[in-house]
Amino acid sequence: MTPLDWIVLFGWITFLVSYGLWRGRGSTSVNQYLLAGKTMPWYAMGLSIMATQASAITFISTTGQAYVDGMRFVQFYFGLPIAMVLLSATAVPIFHRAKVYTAYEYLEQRFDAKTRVIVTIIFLIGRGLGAGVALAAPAIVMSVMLDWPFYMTTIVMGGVVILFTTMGGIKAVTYADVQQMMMIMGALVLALLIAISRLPHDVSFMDAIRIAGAAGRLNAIDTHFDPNNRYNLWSGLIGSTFLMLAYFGTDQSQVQRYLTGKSIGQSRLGLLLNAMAKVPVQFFILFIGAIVFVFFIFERPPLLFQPVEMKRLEKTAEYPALQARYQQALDERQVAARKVKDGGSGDEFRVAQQKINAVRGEAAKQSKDSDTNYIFLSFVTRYLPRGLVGLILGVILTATMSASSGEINSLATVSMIDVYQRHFHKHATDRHYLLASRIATLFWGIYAVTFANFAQRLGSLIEAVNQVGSLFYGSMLGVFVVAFFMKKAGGTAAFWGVVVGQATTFAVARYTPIAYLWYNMIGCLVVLAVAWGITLASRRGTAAT
Amino acid sequence: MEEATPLPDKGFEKEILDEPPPFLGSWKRVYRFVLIYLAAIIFLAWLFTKHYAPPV
Repeated sequence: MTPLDWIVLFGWITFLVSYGLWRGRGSTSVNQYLLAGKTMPWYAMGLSIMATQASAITFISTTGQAYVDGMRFVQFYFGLPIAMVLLSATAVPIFHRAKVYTAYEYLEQRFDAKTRVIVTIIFLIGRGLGAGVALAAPAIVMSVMLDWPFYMTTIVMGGVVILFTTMGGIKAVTYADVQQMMMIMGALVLALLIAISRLPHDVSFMDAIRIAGAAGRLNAIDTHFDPNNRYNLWSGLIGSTFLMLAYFGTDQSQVQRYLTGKSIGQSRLGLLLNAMAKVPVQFFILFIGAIVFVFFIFERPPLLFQPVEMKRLEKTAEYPALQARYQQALDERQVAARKVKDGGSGDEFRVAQQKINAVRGEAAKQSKDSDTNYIFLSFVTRYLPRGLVGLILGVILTATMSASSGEINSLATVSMIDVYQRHFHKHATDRHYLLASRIATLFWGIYAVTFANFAQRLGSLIEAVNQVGSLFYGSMLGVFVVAFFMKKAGGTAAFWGVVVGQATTFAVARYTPIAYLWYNMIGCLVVLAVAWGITLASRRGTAAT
Repeated sequence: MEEATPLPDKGFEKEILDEPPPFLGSWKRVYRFVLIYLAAIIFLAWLFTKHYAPPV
């Protein structure tokens, strides 16, 4: 990082925070602070929803994933447009007309207090774990790239998030997200153009695509059905639809976004913007990863992209032999790639690639950190011009802030509305609740920074904790489907449905190899079955007496 | 448990509007358009995959 990069990095962060605070000024009531006074236009909601999902890991990890595994991850997003349509037709008008601050408030209107309580607890546990991890995972990578201590990275990132989320509320978060999303797309387009421009003169853009295809990196669609395979067309269309329905329909961090809409129509348009843009955006990000893969065929990549692990490896006795094998395999791959470009079959290329994978696998054996996360950042810091490096690292830092601020804001809202106001202090002034909302935001912000520092010590468990989040969504989705569509189901049926649904999801995760995308569907269907059974049994009991 | 008390707030007093979409006339048509768009994207991605797939 050059001084210019540091100036650009801090300049971008300062601009984004100041802009968010300026747009969020005047949030002087609870409604304005938590729901932006229901004044948000559809484009701001749509972009904010996309920015909240697009954490730093999305850019770091998704591009790296395409580099090592191809583009098949795009199928994960195929359920999103289906979910957006279903939610626009059902949840959006129901939540708006219920005049609620949180999705869980609606459950008490529809069922009873115990159902609201259990779902609130599930949300606070699941999202609470996620808030720390959302900060920790990119902070691990950024602390290595910026050469900052981990605690300092989380404090800087967390501190900025706390400052502007506490002061500006959801309006500041949403408007900062709009700028963030536009800058992310601009930075990624520039990164792609630079990767293409730095290919050798005899390798055109179309040649690069042909080579990426021969290397199996353009495998966007896999039509083979396998429930144990995470990413194929069917897990994308079915499993992902349930996950997206649960995430956007029951997770307060998303529901709160579209509750800020001026009208039902504006909220629908916000969700449908997300529906139309998300798949192409993810395709584009993965495509960048595939092109970076081709770029590194002609520009020699390091044996390991993680700089600290690479330095450690260089000091070992095995390093010279590994490096020699690696160089030879790289040479073979480059020759084979030129043959592919000239119409060759690609068999030689794949043999050379297997050799490279084997050497990299041996080199990474002792590594505690996933090398995949450092591929794109290694490309950015080594090959992008001065200033742009600082901008992209700044955008990645603020992407983390964007995701974290949404989570902290939603946790604070649920704590204030579903816990504090509902159970501890029912008849206070608006000013009192506004202060309580700010304190709750501050609390969850400090919690996220603290938990992030703890999560870092968990090492590889971070991935496990991330997947734990998906354990909770199925039963949460189930209870809302019962609320919307099973008119005769009461609170007891919904409550026990959630309990059994949650227990079943835990059992499936613990005792079967089923991929996590299917947990949401299983949990949801169990809730529906149990609620239906209890409703039927109680109606028969009533009829018999 | 007792009944929940709504927050004292002016924001919810205004009427919740459900206006038609700015294009295509009805929300049902907009939803149909989004789903056809998704099908088209998947089809294009499938063609892309088939065209550039390495020989088996």
